[in-house]
Amino acid sequence: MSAAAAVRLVAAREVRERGRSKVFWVGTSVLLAGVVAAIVVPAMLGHYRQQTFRVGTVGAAPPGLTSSVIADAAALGGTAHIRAVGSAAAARSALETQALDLVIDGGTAVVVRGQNTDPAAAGLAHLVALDLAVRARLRAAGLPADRIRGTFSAAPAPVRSLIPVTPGTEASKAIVVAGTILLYLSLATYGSWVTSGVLEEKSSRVAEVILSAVRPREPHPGGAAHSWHDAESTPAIRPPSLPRLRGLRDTSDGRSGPRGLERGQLVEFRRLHHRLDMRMAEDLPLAGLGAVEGDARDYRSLDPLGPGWPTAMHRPYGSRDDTFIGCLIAVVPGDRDARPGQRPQQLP
Amino acid sequence: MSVSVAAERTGGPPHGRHRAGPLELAGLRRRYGRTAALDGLSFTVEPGRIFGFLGPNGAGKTTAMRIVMGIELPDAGAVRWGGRPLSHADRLAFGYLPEQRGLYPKMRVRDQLAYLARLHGVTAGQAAAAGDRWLRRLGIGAQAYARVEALSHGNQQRVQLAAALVHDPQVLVLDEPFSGLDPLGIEDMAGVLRELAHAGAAVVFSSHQLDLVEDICEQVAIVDRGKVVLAGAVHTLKQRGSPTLVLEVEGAGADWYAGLPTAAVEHVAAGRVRVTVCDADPQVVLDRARAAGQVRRFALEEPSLSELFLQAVGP
Repeated sequence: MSAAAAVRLVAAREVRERGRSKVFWVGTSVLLAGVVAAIVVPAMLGHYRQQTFRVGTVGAAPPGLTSSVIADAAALGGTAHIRAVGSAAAARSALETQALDLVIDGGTAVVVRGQNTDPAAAGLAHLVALDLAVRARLRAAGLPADRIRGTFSAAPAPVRSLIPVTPGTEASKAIVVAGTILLYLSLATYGSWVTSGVLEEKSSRVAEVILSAVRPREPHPGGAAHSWHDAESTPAIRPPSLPRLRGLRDTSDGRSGPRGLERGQLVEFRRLHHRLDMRMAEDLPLAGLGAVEGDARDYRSLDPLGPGWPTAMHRPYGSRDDTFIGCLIAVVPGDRDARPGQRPQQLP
Repeated sequence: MSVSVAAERTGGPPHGRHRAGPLELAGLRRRYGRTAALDGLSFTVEPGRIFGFLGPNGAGKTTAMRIVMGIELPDAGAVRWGGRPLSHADRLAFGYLPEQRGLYPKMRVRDQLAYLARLHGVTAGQAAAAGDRWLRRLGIGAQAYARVEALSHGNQQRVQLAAALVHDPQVLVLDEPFSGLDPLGIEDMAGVLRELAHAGAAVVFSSHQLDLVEDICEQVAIVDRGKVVLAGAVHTLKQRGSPTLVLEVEGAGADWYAGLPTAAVEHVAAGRVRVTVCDADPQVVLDRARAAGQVRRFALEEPSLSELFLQAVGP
């Protein structure tokens, strides 16, 4: 079976078994409902959030003021609901109870609540106040009322945007925020399911059964660990970017010190992967070329098969070498004159 | 319904490998820190044989099996099959039963078997059919759609065995396969192993049930501290071991067996004593017994596997 087929098979089992889990479907449904809500709710809120400004007038309003207020409200993205209020006291009361957002008092002043005034309503109040001031100046300048009205009813100068404005910007922001939260929740949820699947395999010995049939990574490019394991069954291991290493085998008895390795000698270090108490024979890329450090007795010897073959040593770099720590493989280059940073020579 | 294994092994193994040959563990060494789990372990399992792999706890049995299955790497040594180093592809023709449960607890039994068979290269259709066949053979066909966690311990062990067999392996590596089985289950599983061996599979299993091992194994290896301390055909080992003399003598005093290397003395009836003697000349013992009283029973018994085991790994 090819590695791809094995991966497909293992993945298909995960998906199929997950699909049979009620927890999966409930969780997925909740997430999907969240996605739908994140799209629909902001759109609905965006629609209904078109603000209605409640404007009261006390006394006689200047001619054409009503249409100006409506235009100003529209400029702020809302609508204006204008009604006459009987007295200044009633207007004050309406402002205090938030029945009105602003009051145009006698066509000369604008009154707002002040505390907790909606920013948009405050903006409208400023526009209306400016409107009243201009009207007063025009009246003082002797401009007839119909011309003043005509002036204010003129179409405003166009406003050009350098960057086109997308409608519903607020809703889009809400969607982004909600989407980010949902993405996080999705990753956390599905990640935890993947973790639980791994734990299920780890908590039983099913991982052993799987590993006896499927290699954790196949075919890997080879290396010291692979070499000594499959030395006799693999004619030649040719790591793509490393010296050819083959035929390494462990002949140490676990007690004697290393043979052919001296303190300060240049070696090529590679890492050997350990997972739990299983040595997976997965070597990681070259860790570096360096000199032997520490007590040489810490190293366990992997003798060369013959002249010209590299000597490999390995040294656990944790307190135990049967847990998730790993160990360094030191492959002694055939060229004893190698310098730090120099690649070991290519072996025949 | 009982179906013979030989009848089921039709069409050859799905993995397409037909290497008939011995499984050889040669000089395996494996250390965990300062502890040597395996210290030059070597033995050979011939095809068509049931091989008992015995030893006290911590002797290295599980480590050796995991190395055979490629789950662990040896520090030294090699595993060969048919005279050639064992490759990953070869292991697709191996069936493995780990000591503890090696199944997905929430997965349905039938799906689980089909999945594991497919991992060994069996097609989907053949995998489903083989799973059903083995479930019926092992008497758990009714539980095909149950989740593993819902089964009893014994039935889970049966499913585990079915998982090891579902791809028609040529070599079976079973770590404590009889654990948790009732006597009927043990007999059933022993029968399956015998049939598999008869059909040509090499079966190696570990167990602490020595009577059972003695009953079904042709060959055994007893390991201690990572080394084989005793290995060979069961009957040969028993013949090679020191026989035990069992005598029942009536009307004799207590002094006739004085000085003999007695293992046990038991009063079985009034005036009748059963004496078990080890490492003594049978003729000398018999002469002394006849001189002392009436010999009602005289037997020369071979040592049991349990006795051999204790002799090999005992203090």
